[in-house]
Amino acid sequence: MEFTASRRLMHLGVLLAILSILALNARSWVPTVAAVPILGLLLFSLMEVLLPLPVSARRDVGEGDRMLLGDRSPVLLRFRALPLPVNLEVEDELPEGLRVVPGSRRRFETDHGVARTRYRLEAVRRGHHDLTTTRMMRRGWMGLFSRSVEIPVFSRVEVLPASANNLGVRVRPRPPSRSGVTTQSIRRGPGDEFFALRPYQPGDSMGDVNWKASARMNRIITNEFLPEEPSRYLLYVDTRATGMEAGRTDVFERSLELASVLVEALIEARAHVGLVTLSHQSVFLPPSGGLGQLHRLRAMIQESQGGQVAPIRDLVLANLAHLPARAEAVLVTSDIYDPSLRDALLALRARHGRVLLIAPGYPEPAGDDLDTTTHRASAALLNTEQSAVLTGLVGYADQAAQWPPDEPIVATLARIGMTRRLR
Amino acid sequence: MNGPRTPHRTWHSTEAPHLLVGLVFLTALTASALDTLGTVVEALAGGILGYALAAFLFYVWRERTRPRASLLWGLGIAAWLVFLAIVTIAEWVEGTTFLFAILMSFPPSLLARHDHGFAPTLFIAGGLWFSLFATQGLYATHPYRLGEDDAVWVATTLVLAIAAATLDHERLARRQGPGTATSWVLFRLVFVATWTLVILTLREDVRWGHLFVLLGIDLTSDAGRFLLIGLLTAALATAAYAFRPAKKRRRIG
Repeated sequence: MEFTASRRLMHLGVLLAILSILALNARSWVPTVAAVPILGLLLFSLMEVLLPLPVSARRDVGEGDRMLLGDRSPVLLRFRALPLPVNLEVEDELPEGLRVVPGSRRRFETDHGVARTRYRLEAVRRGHHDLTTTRMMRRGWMGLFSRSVEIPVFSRVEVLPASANNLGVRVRPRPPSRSGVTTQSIRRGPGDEFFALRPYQPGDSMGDVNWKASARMNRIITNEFLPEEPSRYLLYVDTRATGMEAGRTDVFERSLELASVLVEALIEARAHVGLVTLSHQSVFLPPSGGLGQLHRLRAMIQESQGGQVAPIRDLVLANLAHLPARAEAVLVTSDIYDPSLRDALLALRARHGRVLLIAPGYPEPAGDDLDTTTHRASAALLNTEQSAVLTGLVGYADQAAQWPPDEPIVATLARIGMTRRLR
Repeated sequence: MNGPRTPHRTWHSTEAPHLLVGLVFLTALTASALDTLGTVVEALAGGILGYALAAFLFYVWRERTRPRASLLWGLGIAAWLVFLAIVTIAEWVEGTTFLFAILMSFPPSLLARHDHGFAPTLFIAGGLWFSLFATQGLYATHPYRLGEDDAVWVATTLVLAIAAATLDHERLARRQGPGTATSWVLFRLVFVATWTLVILTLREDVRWGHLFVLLGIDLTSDAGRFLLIGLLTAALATAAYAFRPAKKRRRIG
């Protein structure tokens, strides 16, 4: 049980002190009369606060206890109806990953002796979140006094990583080509690798008819192709969380979100996707396709923990040998100031033949979060990238290996800019 | 990116609550100056001018007019205090009611525009100061006749100023959560008005001086006055300590 009084009480107290001095010195009614309504205000707001508070409550998180990142879910709180609910405030103590949607709190509804209130919860961060207590508060007039009590009400919410569908991100993977040149055939078919000849069957495309063979065999023969080989991607996600400790922008979570979005978009585009998390317990999953793989990848992203302080090159080299080489490497990292990033990219290129670096932009700094000019400049630069990442998933491809070693990577990123996009 | 979102600052550009608060506060100022038609017009014109000036500054420069601890604001507050002192003390100033109304309505209006938490207190203090000093000349000429008629107007001003402060506070509170029911707000105001009327009818018995004499403090002597001020200061300090805000407990895990 806590009893608090706001700072405004001090203001009113000073007013009253001035008034009392005046009342003693000026031979007039005015200061006394002026003090009377203020004293009434104080008295009333004190009485208001001393009314009883609830001792138990129930909480229902709407639509189950699983949410996607960015989802909003209604929460219903119920408790025994008490007199004067208008000055009662109910506030759930939320963990860091959840927050109340501003302006979503509703007034109390009383029905058969049960008071209800609802608000909307927004998932801000992936993981398991426990809601343990609810704070019941009586707040007096103009917030002068307040009295509160904490009630244990337990519920658990699981927040899954972001979904590409929700964000509207679509990715069309490039077809695998050993030459490194992207070619797009005008004619579409089941695949491009010849397998065998077979008799024509109704429904076959006229374009696939092998006219020479038909003339030889005196019946219509068509070409049969192998089904298209899926593109294979291997995502290296930097989950060292160095930025999380260093700065206030939560780059760790942003990298994971980007990985989650990429994974879903690529799986939906029928690519085979594998994942490597670069941290103190590096976990990897070889490329595969389908919904089962998507679930496995999501679970892996869900369980990721940060907390490694090592150059990214060492982490990449430690994992490189165990993983299939015939896949396109995608390196997701926010720490583009890492001096060993260039070496990591070179190693990845040597192994996989092609590497794509994706750096999620920083969120827009709120107010005076970033104060040094260098931070401000880099944040501005990264913000421009962020919009591109959102719309077209900007990637910095093979040029990465040809970066001059003296040039800062930020400058290179700015120079190369939005030259390559996965559309 | 779907990341930890930064809250976007949005302007809830509903003018009506601001106008309502301004209107109630103007009524409060006017209630204190009901002596002659001239003072009423002065109070109204000054109040409207102060309010409109704040609104104008806000709409032209928006964020730049937000109060902050800076040299410019310090100078501005100092200039305001100097003006207030001159208007309050100097005898050669003409049209004190008009100037007081401007000085009293401008700061709370500007702070209310910026949703500042100090605005409600300033509304009460503004009404108080105005009722005490704006028509000081009037009171000074009839020091002993005052209690009979003018006390009601002082109390009315205070009740209306509290109403303006309450409305502004409710407007602020509504932005984050559910607001208080209108009937409940009205009920509180009616309570304070009733309380004031009751006290006014009993005014001879509840004069503060009588109260302090009962407590054994001789107010005619300087020692008694200093004792009282010391008591008040100690009480305020105790209140500030006893009612200090609860510490934010950080939950781990």
